[in-house]
Amino acid sequence: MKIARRRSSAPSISLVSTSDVAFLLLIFFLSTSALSVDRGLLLDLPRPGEPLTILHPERLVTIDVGADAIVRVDGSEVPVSRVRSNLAERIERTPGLVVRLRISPEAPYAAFVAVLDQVKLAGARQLSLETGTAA
Amino acid sequence: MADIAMLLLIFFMSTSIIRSREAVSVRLPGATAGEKIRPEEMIRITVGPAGAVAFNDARIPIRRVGALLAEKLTAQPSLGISLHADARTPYAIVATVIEQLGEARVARVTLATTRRSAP
Repeated sequence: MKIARRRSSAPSISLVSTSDVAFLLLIFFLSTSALSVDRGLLLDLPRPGEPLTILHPERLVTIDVGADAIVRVDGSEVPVSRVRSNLAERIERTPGLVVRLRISPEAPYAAFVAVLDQVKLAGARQLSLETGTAA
Repeated sequence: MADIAMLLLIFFMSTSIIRSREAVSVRLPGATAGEKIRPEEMIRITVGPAGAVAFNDARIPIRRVGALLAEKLTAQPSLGISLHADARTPYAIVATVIEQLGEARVARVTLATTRRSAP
């Protein structure tokens, strides 16, 4: 009796899982490329030698950021999240209002950015940056 | 299907920007009003929480920032400046850097932030 001998197939690596790996990598690069966009707050700086503007007190609001990151608007303590609504009201009443931002040298940079963010959201266009503490 | 996946994979791999190892590692503060920055047109100044400063991923003394900026801007006046300072950095250090930017006649700086949703 002739028994048919099966030809042994050449060994090969299964590539079925390659598409799984490809999809995983694809999802990774899709998600990371969307997250890698840098964002930032724009700040226009004065030119050296630019003449100083004298401001009337009624056109000026002072925001103090202490070393403890506590925010005071014209001397009254205000939570950071309320700075925007506080300022927006005043900007509506006094167009051209200048925001004087006085930051303590020991204040964390995050506190300054949080207040600047609120000031920008409130629509303030003119800013005076100062390093120091309230007297 | 696997061919399409491979093509898309190659596309995203080639368009992703691989950032070189940072000289100063920072944790950026969050902000809602932030606008998008295009990194290829920017000079990147990084300030660490202890005051270490890097200029385009090369560490430099803080007092050299102004001079280096003035040099770069003379060669390429259209370059923007982005300041990546750590959230924990004392404001005095950041103020020194901003002062140097002013002396180098920089008109505009972008303070890099992470995105935070509006309250």
